[in-house]
Amino acid sequence: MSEVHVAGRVGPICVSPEDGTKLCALIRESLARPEPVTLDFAGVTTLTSSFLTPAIGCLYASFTKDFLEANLHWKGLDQTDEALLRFVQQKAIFFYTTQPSQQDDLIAASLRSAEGEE
Amino acid sequence: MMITAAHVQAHVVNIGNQASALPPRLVADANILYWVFYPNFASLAYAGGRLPLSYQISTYPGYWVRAAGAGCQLFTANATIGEFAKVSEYAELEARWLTDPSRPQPDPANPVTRFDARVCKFARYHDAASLGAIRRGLETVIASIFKSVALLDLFSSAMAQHSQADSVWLSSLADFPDAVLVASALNQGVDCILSDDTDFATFPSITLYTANRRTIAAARTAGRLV
Repeated sequence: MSEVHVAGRVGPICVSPEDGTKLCALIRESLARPEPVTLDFAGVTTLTSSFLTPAIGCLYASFTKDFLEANLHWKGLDQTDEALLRFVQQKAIFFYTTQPSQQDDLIAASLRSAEGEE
Repeated sequence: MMITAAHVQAHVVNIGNQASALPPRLVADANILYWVFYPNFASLAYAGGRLPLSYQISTYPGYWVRAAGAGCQLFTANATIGEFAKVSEYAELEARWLTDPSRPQPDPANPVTRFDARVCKFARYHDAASLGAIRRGLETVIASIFKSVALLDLFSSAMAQHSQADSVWLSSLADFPDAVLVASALNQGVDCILSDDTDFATFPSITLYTANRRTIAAARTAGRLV
């Protein structure tokens, strides 16, 4: 069992997708051994989807839902952050169970959704 | 027609510049809340290596880390949460529609291939049984926003809010919801707005913090880039 202290790796503000991607690589490495992983969020003051999606959502591209349920654990989250993580998981499961062409449509729609430069 | 130097009235800060200023108080627009708080599929595509990191996915969360780390107080308006909820619900319904093999149509005699506001309204009723679950998910995201972002104070009256929003709306090229956000911020003495929306550059009396390249280019030409 590998335990990752998220605040120790990333700092207390977990918002950056780049940080999320680095954490994802670390988790993926352990899970591939295969070794269960526990994420310890103690000390994290800010946790957002922009971090959680690349950190945890992307794992569903490599591992099944059942495998992750059995091997990925976490602690130190309050009720709101726990619910957010579950929502990120749901979205990732939805995304990775669709066809590749549908995924392209979903990505394009995501990029269109917020008013901006384009 | 896009923004030109002649349209720029705000001061503009390029947040992509690591040396850019960090104000003590900052008001976030709905698109920033979307890129930071809503679990969107573009982030998954980036993490999976299918997309390069777009500036919205990267720069705004990066600046958020800097601002929060420096003790900047983050705000948004009640109306902006409404706008965020609308954009996010639209995204949720669009995702369902795009992956539904039957792509239910508001007018089956004239099927459409693209999701738009009319299809979204139709989808809310067609998918009414799922709407509760969709909204509970979004409620979670909004609760997450409120852990980091405070709501701007209300005006002394609804009419006072309307009058001030109307005044800043008339002085800009932005839409009315943007004017409500600016008026709410100014009402609380905050003149720093974080947004990807170029329209905010057309308000006088504010400083726009943005990574939007067109806005930054227009502000530089106008001599308004701080």
